[in-house]
Amino acid sequence: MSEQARRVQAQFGASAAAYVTSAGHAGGDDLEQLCAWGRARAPARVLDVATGAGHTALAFAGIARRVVAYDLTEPMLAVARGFVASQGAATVAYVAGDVEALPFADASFDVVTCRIAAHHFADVAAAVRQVQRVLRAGGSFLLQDILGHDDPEANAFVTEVERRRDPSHVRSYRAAEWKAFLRGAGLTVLDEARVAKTRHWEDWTGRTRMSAAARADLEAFVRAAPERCRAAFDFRLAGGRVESFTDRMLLLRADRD
Amino acid sequence: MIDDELKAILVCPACKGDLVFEETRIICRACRKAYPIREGIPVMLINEAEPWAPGRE
Repeated sequence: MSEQARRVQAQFGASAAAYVTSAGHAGGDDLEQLCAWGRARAPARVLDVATGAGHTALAFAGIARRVVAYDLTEPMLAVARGFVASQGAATVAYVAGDVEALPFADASFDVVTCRIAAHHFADVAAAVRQVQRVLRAGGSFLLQDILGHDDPEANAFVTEVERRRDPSHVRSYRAAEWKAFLRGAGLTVLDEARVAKTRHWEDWTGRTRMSAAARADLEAFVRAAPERCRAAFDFRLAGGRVESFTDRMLLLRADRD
Repeated sequence: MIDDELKAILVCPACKGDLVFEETRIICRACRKAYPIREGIPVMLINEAEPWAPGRE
């Protein structure tokens, strides 16, 4: 397992429970869009990669006969299992493992989902190849992740903000980069959507258990950044405090050739 | 906790070969590794697997 995988386990093992109530993860237009694409495929079996607190697995439990919720971090899976069971879904199975070494036979799934997680992966190309392998021919990969910004300086700024908040954040990718990963693995993009996601600063920095000092440092870093970089993510400041910023999410449906 | 449908699709994360399911662990004979089942959850992490040899069955 990579050093990156260990960072993810340390990060999410310590803060697993906070993701159940995270508004950004619980749902919204983004999850609705993925479900609409999923429902149209009428899948029997779905794999949710990097399930986190299980919100996507739960949503797809209402669409597919069977869902497998998969995550690198065992405490996160325990939280997901408790949350999904509390919502009355009984058709979800749980498996721990690394996305770069999926423990599933070729062509096992009709749909694979991966929501707001790929920015933690050490090797996205390897992960996408594994997704392609476990999809049946014609099956759909439903991906959602934070969209990389076209302005390199703004992109570097937000990546630094993300990493200071969560050391397991690697980076987000632009749409063209995602399409290259998918095409390289034998997946063809058939649907695309973008959804804005506003992050409320207190909630966002609180979820990862940052210290008060680290939060103050991060806020100072944001205030000191060029206005252009802040504007790229619609950072809202009031009285010298950061209130929120807005990410754009990229949603893609790519089918196995 | 690991039902037949899940058993039918689970393979070794390293070699993608077939597995042998026991009460508390999942064995890949080809890789000579045993993957733990913890809290009912198969832990299919290559670095969490224990060495396994046929004589220790």
